Amino acid sequence: MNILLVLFLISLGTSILLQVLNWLFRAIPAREAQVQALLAPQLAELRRQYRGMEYQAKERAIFRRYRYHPILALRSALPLFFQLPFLFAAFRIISRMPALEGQSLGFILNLAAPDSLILGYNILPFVMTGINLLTALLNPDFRLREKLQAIFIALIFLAILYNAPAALLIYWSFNNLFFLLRTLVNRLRYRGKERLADPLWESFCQALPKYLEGVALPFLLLIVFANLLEYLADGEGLYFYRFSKTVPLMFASAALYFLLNWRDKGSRRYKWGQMAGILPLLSAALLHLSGIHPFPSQRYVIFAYLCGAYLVLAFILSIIQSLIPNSAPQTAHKSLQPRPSFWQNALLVFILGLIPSLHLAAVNPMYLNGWFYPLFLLLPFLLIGLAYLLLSLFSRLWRSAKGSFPPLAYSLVFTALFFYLPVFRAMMQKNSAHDGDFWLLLLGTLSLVWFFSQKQGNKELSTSARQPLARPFYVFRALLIVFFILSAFNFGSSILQGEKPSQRKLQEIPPFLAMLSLKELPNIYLFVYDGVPNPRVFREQGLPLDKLEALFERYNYTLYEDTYTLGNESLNSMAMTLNITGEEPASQSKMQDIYSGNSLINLFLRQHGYSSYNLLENYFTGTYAMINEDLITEYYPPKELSDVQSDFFLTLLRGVMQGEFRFDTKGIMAEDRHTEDDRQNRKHELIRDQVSPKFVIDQVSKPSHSQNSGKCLPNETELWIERFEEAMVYLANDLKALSEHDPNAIAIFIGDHGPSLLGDCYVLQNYKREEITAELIWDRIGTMVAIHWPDATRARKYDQNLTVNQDLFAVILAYLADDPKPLQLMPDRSFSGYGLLTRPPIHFKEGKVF
Amino acid sequence: MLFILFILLLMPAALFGYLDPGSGAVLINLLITAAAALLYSLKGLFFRLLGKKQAAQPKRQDIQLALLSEGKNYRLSFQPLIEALTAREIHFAYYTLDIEDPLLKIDNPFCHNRFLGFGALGKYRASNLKEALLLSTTPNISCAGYPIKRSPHTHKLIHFFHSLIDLSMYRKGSLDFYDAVILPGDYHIAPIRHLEKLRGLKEKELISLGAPYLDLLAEEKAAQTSIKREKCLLVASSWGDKGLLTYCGIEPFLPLAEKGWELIIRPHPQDLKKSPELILKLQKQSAAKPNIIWDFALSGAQSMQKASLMLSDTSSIRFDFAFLYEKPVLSLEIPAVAMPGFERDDLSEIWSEGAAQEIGMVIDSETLRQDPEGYLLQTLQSFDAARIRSYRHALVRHFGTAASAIVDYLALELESLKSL
Repeated sequence: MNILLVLFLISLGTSILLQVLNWLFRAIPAREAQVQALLAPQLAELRRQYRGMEYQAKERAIFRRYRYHPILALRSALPLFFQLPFLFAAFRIISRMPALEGQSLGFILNLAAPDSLILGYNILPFVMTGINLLTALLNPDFRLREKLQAIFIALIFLAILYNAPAALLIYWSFNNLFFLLRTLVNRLRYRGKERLADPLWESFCQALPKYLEGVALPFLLLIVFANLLEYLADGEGLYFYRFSKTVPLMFASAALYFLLNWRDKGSRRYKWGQMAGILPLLSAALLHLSGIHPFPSQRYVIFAYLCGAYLVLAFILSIIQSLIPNSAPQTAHKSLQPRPSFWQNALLVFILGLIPSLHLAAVNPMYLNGWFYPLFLLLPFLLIGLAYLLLSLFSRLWRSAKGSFPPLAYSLVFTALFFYLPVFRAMMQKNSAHDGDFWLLLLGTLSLVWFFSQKQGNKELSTSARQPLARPFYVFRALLIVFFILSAFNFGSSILQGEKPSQRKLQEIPPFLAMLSLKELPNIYLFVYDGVPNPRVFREQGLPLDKLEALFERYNYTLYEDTYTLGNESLNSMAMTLNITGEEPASQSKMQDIYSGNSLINLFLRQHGYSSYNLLENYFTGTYAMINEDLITEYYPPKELSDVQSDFFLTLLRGVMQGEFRFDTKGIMAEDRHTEDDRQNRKHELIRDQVSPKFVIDQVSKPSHSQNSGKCLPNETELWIERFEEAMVYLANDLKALSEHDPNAIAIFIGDHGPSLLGDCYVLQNYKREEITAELIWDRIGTMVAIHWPDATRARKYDQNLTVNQDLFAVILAYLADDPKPLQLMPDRSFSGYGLLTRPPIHFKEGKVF
Repeated sequence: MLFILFILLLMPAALFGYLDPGSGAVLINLLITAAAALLYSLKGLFFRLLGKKQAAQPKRQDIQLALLSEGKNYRLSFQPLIEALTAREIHFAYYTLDIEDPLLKIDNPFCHNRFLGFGALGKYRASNLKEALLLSTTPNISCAGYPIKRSPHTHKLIHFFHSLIDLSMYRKGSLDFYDAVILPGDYHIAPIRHLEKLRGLKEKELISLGAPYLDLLAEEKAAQTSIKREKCLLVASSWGDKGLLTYCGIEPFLPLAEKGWELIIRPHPQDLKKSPELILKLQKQSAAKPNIIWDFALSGAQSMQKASLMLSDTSSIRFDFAFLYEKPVLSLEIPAVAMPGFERDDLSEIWSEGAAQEIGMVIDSETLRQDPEGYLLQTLQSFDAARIRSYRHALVRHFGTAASAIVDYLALELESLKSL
C-alpha cells in the first residue's frame, strides 16, 4: 500500500506542476486557434481559386499579412515541451526502479512487469485508456476534432504501452484520473453556459445515422462472414477455443443486433428488442455467478455460444423488420452510389478479384499445379459473389438500408482485403492471434468507399445526371490497373521461370566423401520428434526430463547436452541436417527436394548400398516425392500426385481463409487417410523386417511447438507436456522395438527445433534486440540429440564436438568409416534468425547471443 | 495522418512518455504542423527555384505613407481611404493591431497591409514604424502611460476622426503630440485651438476634409432597400459609465415593448469586450419579450435602416443616424461626473450638447420613465428632415467624398516629402 501511496503522490505532484505550466502558457494555444480560425477559410478559398505556383504565392502573401508561418503553429505545443521533461523523468524513475522488482500489489504479482491480470492479458493499459477516453469525451473544451485526436492518441499509446510495467500504468492512470477530475470540474463550470458552435460536431450528428446504416451494419455483417470462413477453414473445431477470436466476434454480433434494434427507435418494438438483447449476457453472467458452468471442460466456449445467440437474435430481428416495418418515420435513402456502367463494373470485379489470387499463386508455386491454378483464381470470385449475395439479401431485409451502401463495391473491398490478409500479415510479420488488423482495415476502407460514393452520389442527385467520376476514383482505377499488370507479370514469370520439380539437380557429393570407404553398414534410423529440446531447456523450464533420460539410459543411448539446430523450423532444420550444412536452402521447394530424398546423406548412403525409407507428411516432401521416387525405396504414406496436389491446394485455401499462412496449416484429405498411428506401425514393420542396410527417416508430429498465435496460452506449457507424454509413448515403443529387433543399428532421436514456450511463444515479434536472452533462443532452437552407437568407444573418438543437428551426419560418417575426414564437413555453429523489419537477425553461438 | 501513425508504430521505443488527452491532441497537431511547415517551406523553395519573377514591388523604404488602425472596429474609417489610395495607385502600408481586422484580407499590390503582432510586441512595432507619414484614428499616441509612442522615423503624425463627436470625448492630452488633424468639419477647430493655447502647445495643422466613414455608410445605405418600420426604436449605447445601458439598463424601455414597439438594442462593441456580464444580464431581462432584438453586427446599417427613431446617450452614432438616415434622435442625458479624465473638463463649451438639440430631443432618464411612448411620439412628430439636411451641410465637409479629399491631401504631402 505504501507503493500505491508513493505513486499517488508522485502523480499528484506532477499533475499540479503540469496544471501550473498549462495555466502559465494558456494564452498561446488560444492565439494559435484564433489565427487558424481566421486563416482556414481564406486558404480554402485560395485552394478553390488557384493552383501550383500561383497558389503558393498567394498563400505566402496571406501568411505575410498575418505575420504567420506554419511553423509558428508549434508554439501551441509550448506547454507540452515544458511537460515532457517531467513526464520522461517520471517514466524513467518508475520503469527502472529496482525496489519495484518482485513487489506485489493486490492482484498484481509484480509491479515491475506487465500485470497479466486476466488470462495473461494486461488489464491496466485498458483502465488507463478507459479513463483517457472518458476524459476526451467529457472535456467541455474539446470540439469533435480534438475529441477524435485524443481518442486516436489514447489508442496509439494503448498499443505502445500495452506491455509497460504495472507500476508505470498505475502512475499514469492516477495522472489521467486527476485530469478527468479537472475535466469534471470544468464541466460543472460550463453548466448553463452557452457552448461554442461546433460545425463539425453538427455535421457529425447529421452523418452518424447514415454512417451506421451505410458502413457499420454491412461492416459487422462482413465480419461475421469472415469469421464463418475462418471457422470453416479451421476444420478441427479449435476455433471455438480461441477466445481472442470469439470474444471480439461476440461483441460484433451484439453490436449488429443492437444496431438493428436501434433502427426501431421510436417504436414499441425498440424497448422489447433492448430487453431481448440484454438476455443472453445476463443469463451467462447469472449462470457464472451461481457457479453453474454449462461448459465445464472449456469455459471460454461460452463466448462462442453467446456470439451464436446474438446472431440468431439479429437474424430474427431482421426478418421481423422486413415483415413488419417500423411505424416510426425511416430515413429514405435514395441511391447514393456512383453508377458506373455494367462493363466498368465487370472490369472492376475482374481486376480486383484477380490481383490478390494472382499474387498468392505467384508466390506459392509449390502449392498449385495443373487445374488447381484456375480453381484457385476463381476462389475470389466465389467470395465476391457470396459477400454480394449476403449484403444484398440483408439490405433488402433491412429495407431502409437499401441504397445506403454499394453492396458490390463492399464485396470487392472485402474480398480483396480478405485475400490479401495473409500477404499483409506476412509483410508485417504479424500473426492471426486476433483479427484487429483486418477489422480496422475493412472498416477504414468501407468508410472511404462510402464517403466517396456519398460525395459522387450527392453530385449526381443535385444535377440529376451522371457526373464524371472524381479524381480519386481515376487515380484508384489507374493504380488497380498497374497492380493488375504487375500481378499478372509476376504470375506469368512464376510459371515460366519458377522452380520446377522436373528440373531436378542432384546434390554433389564432395570428392573426398565419394572416395570414403565405410568399415561397416549398420542400419541407420533417424527419428525426428517435432519440438523436443535438449536437456538444458528441459531443466531451465522445469519440463519433465527424468523419464526421457531414464529411457535413453536404459537402452544405452548417448543424450547430448547443449545441442541446437541452425534452422529454426522443421523443414529448414532437417534439410540442413541431411545436407550437413549451415546454410539455409534458398526456398521451401529446395528444402522439400532435400528432405524427400535429394540430400547429400541419402545419395551417399544409397551409393553404399543402403535402401532408404521416407515416412514423412506431404508438407515435408511436397510434390518432390514424385520426382525423387528413384532416390527413395519407399515413401510412406504412399505419395500420389493428385492427392498431394489437392492436399496442397487445400492448405493454401485454408491459409487464405484463416488469414495467415502458418507452418502448422495442414491440408485435409491426406490427413484423413493416413494417421500418425499408421506411420508408426509402418516404422515398426521396418524395424522388424531384418532388411539391411537401410536408412529410415520418420518425423513424429508430437509434441511440436506452441500454437503460433504470437500469444502464449495461459496453459501453453501444460498443453506441451500433455503432447510430450503422448510422444513419449511412441518414443518408448521405438526404443523397445529397436532394442529387441535391431540392436546393432545406429538410432538417432532428435528434435527438429525447440518447443517455443517462452516469450511470445512465437518469433519474438515485439521484442527489442536487448530483450532477447540466450534462454529465449535455447527455447526455440535447443534440440534433443540422442544416439545409440553400436560401438561406443569408436563413437567417442568422433562425437566430442557434436553441437548442432547439422554436425550429426559428419560424426556418423566418421564413425562408419572410422576416419575423421568427414568431420571437416561440420558447419560453423552460428545460428542467425528472427530478424524482423524493425530488428536485425539475432545471432547465437554455443549459448551466447550476439 | 496515416504517415504519422506509421511513424508512431515504427518507433515505439522513442515514445516513452504518455500524455493526457489534451497533450495527446497537441502532440498530434504538433506532428502534423511540423510536417506541414516542412512541406510549405519545401514548396516555397521549389517554386522559388522554378518560378517566374513577380512584378516589381517597391522597397520598404520607398513607401512613405502608413495607416495605423487599432482594429476591426475602425474598418469604416479606413476602408474608404484604402479604396481611394489603391484607386489612385499610391503605395502605402496599412498596419493593424487586431488580427481579426477584416482589412487584412485586402489583396492589392498597392496596399501593403500587415498585422503588427499580439499585445506589447504589436504596440512596440507600432512605435517603430518606418514610414514618414503616419495617419491614424488612434488618439493618445506618445501620451504618458499610453503604450504606443511616436516612431522616431515619423515625420508627420496625422490624426483623423472616426466619428463626428468632438474632442470632448477624448482623454486629456490625447492629440498633444500630433502634427496635423483632419477634421470632419470646422466645428472642431475652436476646441482644439483652445486646448493648444491652454497648454502652450505649437499650433497643429487643422484641415477640414470630412469623415471617410460617412462615405461608406452612405454607400451602404444607398445599397439597402427601405425597410423602415413605424414603431421601431433603436437603442444605441455608448460604452462604459457614459453608456446608457450601464447608466440605466433597459428597464425604462420595457414598457414600450408591451405597447407594440419593436426595440433593437445595439450595445457598443467595447461593452461586449469589457462588460459581457452586463450584456448577458440585460439579455436575460429581455428574454421573454420577442419584440426586443439585440444587434451585435459589426455594422449598424441594417438596424438604422429599420428603425423609425433612435434613443442614445452621448454616442456619436446619433449624428450618423440623423445625417445618413435623416431620422430623429432622442438623446438621454448622462451626468458629466461619470466621465472624469476627458478633454471636456478643460473645455468651456461642449459641441455635442448643442448639436443634440439640432437632431432631436434631449431628455433625462427620470423624465423618460414617466411616459416613454409619449416622448418618442413627440420626437417623431417634431422632426423635420429638411432641417437636418441643412444642418449636415453646414457641419460636415465633403459628405460622401471625404476619402477622396483626404487622399488628395496625402498625395500632396507625399510630394512635399520628396523635396525634403
